[in-house]
Amino acid sequence: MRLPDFQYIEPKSLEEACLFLKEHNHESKIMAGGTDLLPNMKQGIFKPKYVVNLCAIQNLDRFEFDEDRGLWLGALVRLRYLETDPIIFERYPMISQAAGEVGSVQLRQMGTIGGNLCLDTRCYYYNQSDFWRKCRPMCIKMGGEKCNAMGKGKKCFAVLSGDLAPALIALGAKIKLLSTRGERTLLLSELYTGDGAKPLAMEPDEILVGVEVPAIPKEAFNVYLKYRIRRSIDFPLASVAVMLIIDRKKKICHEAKVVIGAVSTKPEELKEIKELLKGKKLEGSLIEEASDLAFKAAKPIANAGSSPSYRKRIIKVFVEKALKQGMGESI
Amino acid sequence: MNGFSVIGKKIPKIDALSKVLGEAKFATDIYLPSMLHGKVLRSTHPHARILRIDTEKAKRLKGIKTIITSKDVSDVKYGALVMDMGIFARGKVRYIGEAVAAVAAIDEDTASEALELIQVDYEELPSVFDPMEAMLPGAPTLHEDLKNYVTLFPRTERSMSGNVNYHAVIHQGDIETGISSSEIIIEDTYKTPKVHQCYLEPHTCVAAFDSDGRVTVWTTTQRPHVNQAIISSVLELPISKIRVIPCHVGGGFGGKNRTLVEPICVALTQKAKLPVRLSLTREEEFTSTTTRHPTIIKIKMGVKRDGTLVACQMDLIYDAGAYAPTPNAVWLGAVTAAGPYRISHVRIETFSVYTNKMMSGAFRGYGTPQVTFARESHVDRIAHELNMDPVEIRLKNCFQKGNYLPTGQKLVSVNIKDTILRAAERIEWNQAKKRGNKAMGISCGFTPCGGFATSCIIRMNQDGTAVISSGAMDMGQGLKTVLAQIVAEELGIEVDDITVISGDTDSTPFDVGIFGDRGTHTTGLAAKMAAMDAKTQIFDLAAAQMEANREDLDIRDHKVFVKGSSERSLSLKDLLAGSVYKKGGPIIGKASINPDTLPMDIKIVQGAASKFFSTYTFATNIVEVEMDPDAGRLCVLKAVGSQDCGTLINPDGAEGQIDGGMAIGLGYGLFEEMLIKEGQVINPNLLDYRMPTALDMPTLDRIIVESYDENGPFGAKGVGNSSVINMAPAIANAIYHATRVRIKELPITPEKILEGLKEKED
Repeated sequence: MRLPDFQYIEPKSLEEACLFLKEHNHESKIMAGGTDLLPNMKQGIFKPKYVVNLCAIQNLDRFEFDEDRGLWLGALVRLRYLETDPIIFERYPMISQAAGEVGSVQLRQMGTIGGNLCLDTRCYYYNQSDFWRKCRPMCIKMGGEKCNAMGKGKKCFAVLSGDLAPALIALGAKIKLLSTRGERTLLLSELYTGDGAKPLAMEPDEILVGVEVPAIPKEAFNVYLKYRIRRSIDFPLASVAVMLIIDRKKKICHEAKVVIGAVSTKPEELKEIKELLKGKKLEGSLIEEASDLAFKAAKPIANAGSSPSYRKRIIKVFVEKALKQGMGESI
Repeated sequence: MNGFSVIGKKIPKIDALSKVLGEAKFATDIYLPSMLHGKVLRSTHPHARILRIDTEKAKRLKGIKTIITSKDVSDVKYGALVMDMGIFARGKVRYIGEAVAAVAAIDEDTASEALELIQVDYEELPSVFDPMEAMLPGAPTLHEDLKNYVTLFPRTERSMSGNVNYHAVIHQGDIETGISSSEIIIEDTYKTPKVHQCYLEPHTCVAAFDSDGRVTVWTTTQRPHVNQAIISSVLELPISKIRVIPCHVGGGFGGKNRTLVEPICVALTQKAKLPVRLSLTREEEFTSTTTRHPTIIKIKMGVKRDGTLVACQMDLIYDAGAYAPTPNAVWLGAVTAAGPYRISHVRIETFSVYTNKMMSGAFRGYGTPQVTFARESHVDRIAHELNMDPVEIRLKNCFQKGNYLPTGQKLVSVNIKDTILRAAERIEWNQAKKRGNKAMGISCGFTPCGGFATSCIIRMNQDGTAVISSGAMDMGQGLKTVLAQIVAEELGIEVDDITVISGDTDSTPFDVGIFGDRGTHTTGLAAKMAAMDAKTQIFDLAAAQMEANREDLDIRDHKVFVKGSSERSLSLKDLLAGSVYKKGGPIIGKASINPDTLPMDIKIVQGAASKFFSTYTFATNIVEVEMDPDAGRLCVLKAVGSQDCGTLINPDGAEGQIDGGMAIGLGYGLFEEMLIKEGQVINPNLLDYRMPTALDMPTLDRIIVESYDENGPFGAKGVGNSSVINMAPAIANAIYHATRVRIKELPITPEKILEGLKEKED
């Protein structure tokens, strides 16, 4: 399949990019690596007049670490960098893990953190060619009125399949968005609308310029677990990011953030688990209770590989596994 | 092997360097001046009447040169054994993706745009997607005129009626007696999915007419000569007016053993009067080519308490999709269904059934992987029921030399026993009792090998080198190298001395196509016979010049010499230069064969799709898996593939085939499945249709068990198909050992394992 016609724009500065997007917001698509955008364009999902590639903007791939302030990751930091950087590996292992499980080495070499956070949602009935989609009524995400995956209903269930989002939400990350109207900062969790058809709470003229990850205590535990069918290439079919601040000796949990991903239209932090575990001693029955909550919270539908019931089940298995790991049990 | 100078040597593939350097030409590399680009408009309905095709708007698009529909081509139907296909859908469409019209334009984008402008009005018809439903009375009929289609096999009462396009029965012994004399009878049903060959290179074809009205077709195919014949019949051109030049093939695995794009491309060229290129997208590959048949397999086996297999009854339903030009896979499934075992009473009944899906066809193993999964799972189950070691039950029942297949065909060469023993030894089966979450599984099977028409010409050059012309295709499996090794051995020269021309219909003689492990065994045999013919002529020449009896002559190291007194010799170079310039004439060896097999007994076999294949290759695979019981996930740690392939011609080539076979087999076992909803493939891409990646592969080990097949060149057989069939059942059996969960439907997913575990708990 071939790319549709478009005009390629390569702004040299953020100002230039913002000005261009102000002018052409609905006709433009931002490119920050292209590993998600270009395949979607080849399938005719997007036919933008302009592709605005951020690659020439200086300092957008800046990476900073400060013991007190935490991490700054410019939007164009490569996934491969996140995977292999020793500081991240040591201080935020779940970022390394999540980045290292995206696609393949080649894709991680091109893909960026900004691109991964702004990944479009996916569905068997959406990520197809124009010809393919013609065989069925137009779906909600393409502007129609029917969800082909559910066969009924007025809601789009396309899945947010980014690997980085659950991990960074668990870490309490914030994002910076820039437009000609100025800069605004959001919690990363606020970026995701939960509407499969329009998954991101960004205006079309806004650019995600970077991510702030707060400093976390050295003894904090964090892990990202991803379910996919093959050991490479695949998008997650279910994922769990867990961040624990824990007193290992007493096994007392001060804080537990559990985020589940790839089972619905947005990554979801399970606040009920946070409340359940806060200040409690982490042990068998409590872990079981927590993983049951995760099981109930996950509501995948049949619009990606594997089966909804299995994806639910694996969420439970992963939460249990992560909490046990956090307690220092060898799995 | 003793005494060979070239056979059995690790000779690199003769086209390896040109491929590594990017010099080798594939069809997609062919660009001609003024060449147009074709695109095919495809059906958006699984079953619908075509009311009207309006091309007016498309015709007016700038850059469009030609639009063709069924009105522009002959209504000749083609196929190999069932003539049921046309170039385009005529009157109605029978699956989503069927060709309805085609365009040629100045570039691909314009051609694609034109497709959008063609308006087709359809009237939807009821569809049927399940072969069992399609066999019921009152099911929607795909081919109303089925009875009148031309077929090239003996029809039974059931074949070519309703939606059943092919039916055959094999009945050896008496199944009722067999069942009633069994001490334990076990019955079950197994299912296998629709899977695609996923060759890297999509179908691509370039066609151009010259001023004499002769068309040249560059394409990617496993059967150039049959392609030529089909183009001739559907476009009503004499064969002499068609030249098919097969380019290097970027993978076939059976998928390039059909004629799909060439007739459309030639028809476009004919009308546009300019060269046309037609190349399929990956989505088209996944919706409009061929696949392995999905199957539903019922099996009932009877055994004695000592493990003797007594009776095997199987009903095979092969889901053919909308067209079934070659039911051979369905027939070969029946031939191999009962497995490499001595069973006195066997009854196999096999059906090929039309459904409104893209067609099934040939894919490595050719009908056998499906039955192997069902039977080997079942044999394993019987072993457990009898409390017998799964290796033991197979050793007890496996074929030995001189045994007969259920069809009544006598086996020429068979060494299944050693494949089992050596695989078990290599992987240390005796220690294979479940360890933690690790366990092993075994599977044995066999596939047909060789037969059918081929020919070969060998021209001796005046310096003692040679040119082989064979209509058989090297599709990457290394056939050219194997042919060169065979001929070099026979003529006492080196592989380097030989040029191999493979497949070009202008410069090679007929071959029926590379399928069913025919390459080494049959086209290799023709090459050997052509070399023997050349050698006879060389000896005649030499005998006269050397004043020796021709019976006393031998050939080695580029010399003809008198046996026992090697100082009395003549170099090939001197001899052959003499034959060209002085006396005798240039030497050309030839062979034209169609290996005979004994006729079938119609009391045993009804409805055979073809005559018997020449011989059979046998294989055993053992795998070790590790389970994660919480999530039903598994990891295949080790796999050993043990093959009886006759005399080994090229160890690297054979091992490569075994590795590749295990990779394809693992994908079939664990991941691959074309998901079809309302007739539409919902994963028509290599992201959602999951072939194994390198990281998914276990540690591979291969064992080559040699035997000697008296019908093969130097005793050789094929190795391509038997390496594929055992992986899925071996993995399923290992999972059973680890978890006591029996998986009866491929692919083996964690959810199926988990479901099985839950059922066990309840």
